[in-house]
Amino acid sequence: MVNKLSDLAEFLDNDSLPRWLKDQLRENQEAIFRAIEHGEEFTITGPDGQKLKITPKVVAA
Amino acid sequence: MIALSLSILFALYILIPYALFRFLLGLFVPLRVFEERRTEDLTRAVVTLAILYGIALALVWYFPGFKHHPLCFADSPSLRTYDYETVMGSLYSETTFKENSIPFWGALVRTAERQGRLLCWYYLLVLGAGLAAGVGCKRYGRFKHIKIFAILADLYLMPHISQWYVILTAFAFPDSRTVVRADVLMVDGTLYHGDVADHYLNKDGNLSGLFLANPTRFDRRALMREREAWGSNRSASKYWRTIPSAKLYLVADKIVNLNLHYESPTPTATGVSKYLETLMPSPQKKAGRKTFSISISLES
Repeated sequence: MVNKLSDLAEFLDNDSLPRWLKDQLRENQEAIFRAIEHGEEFTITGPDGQKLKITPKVVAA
Repeated sequence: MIALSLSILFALYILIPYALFRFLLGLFVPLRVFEERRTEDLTRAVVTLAILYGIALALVWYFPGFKHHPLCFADSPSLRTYDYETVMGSLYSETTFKENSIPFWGALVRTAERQGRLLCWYYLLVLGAGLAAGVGCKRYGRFKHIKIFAILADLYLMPHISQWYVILTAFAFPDSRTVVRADVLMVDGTLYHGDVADHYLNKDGNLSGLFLANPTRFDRRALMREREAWGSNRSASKYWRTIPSAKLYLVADKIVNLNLHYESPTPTATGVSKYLETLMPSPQKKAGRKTFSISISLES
């Protein structure tokens, strides 16, 4: 049971990505993980032409 | 007489300020129905008001601007003690009242003026707290990452705000353009999909209805018919039918369940990162290791 507003907000926020982005992430998951592993940038293009760049930061084992 | 006086004091110092706080907060967000029997809520309300009362008392006692305004008159500690003794004694005993009936009325007026001055600042503080809480509610999504704000919100906002407002609006999101999409299953088995445009609560604070914008209905009958007739394996997404209305109102009594999905137009690195974690290959997931950290940038 969620008793704190902050917990409820986090719970709702956890899964708040646009559907197109989720679909793209799911479809390209292997390529994205590969790119992250090699320290490369991966770009996703949205339905309205918006571009989302995923850039790996410090890789921690 | 004492009981009547205590009732008046209880109304002036607890009930009215609490109602004022909720009225002001209610101008910003829909409120949860107050549960008088919940000891936790009552304690929190009394403790909060006691803090504000303490501040008002300190202002009136120690700060010149507040000490004499409003209702200014020549006062002294000894006169104050005399007035309180006279008023309390007369309220307690009818004999004392008859003996001190003339000084009683003078003492009562001065006591009322003192309390009126204190109440004035006390109510202003309560209104200020209500206003701050209201603004905090409106900016919750933006400020929720600030630790002290989150703690105060947990303590003071959660008990007041309607849980439906938190769940069915963009309240919890930094971007107010966040859309709440809902799949609504009705008691007759019909499934609707749409953006939550508005919601209504009944007097008990429960959901009474829901407005869906851009509504679509899942044509389950056609799906079953086609599957039975020719073993069709068309994607289920082909069976969503647009409802030709701007907004569809659904009565809450007929709703079996709600499947909600929040779509923020500005995804965050944390959100993307968390979603990628759910897609992470199982050996890494089982090991409980997060092997990446990302940043994102969105270009239109």
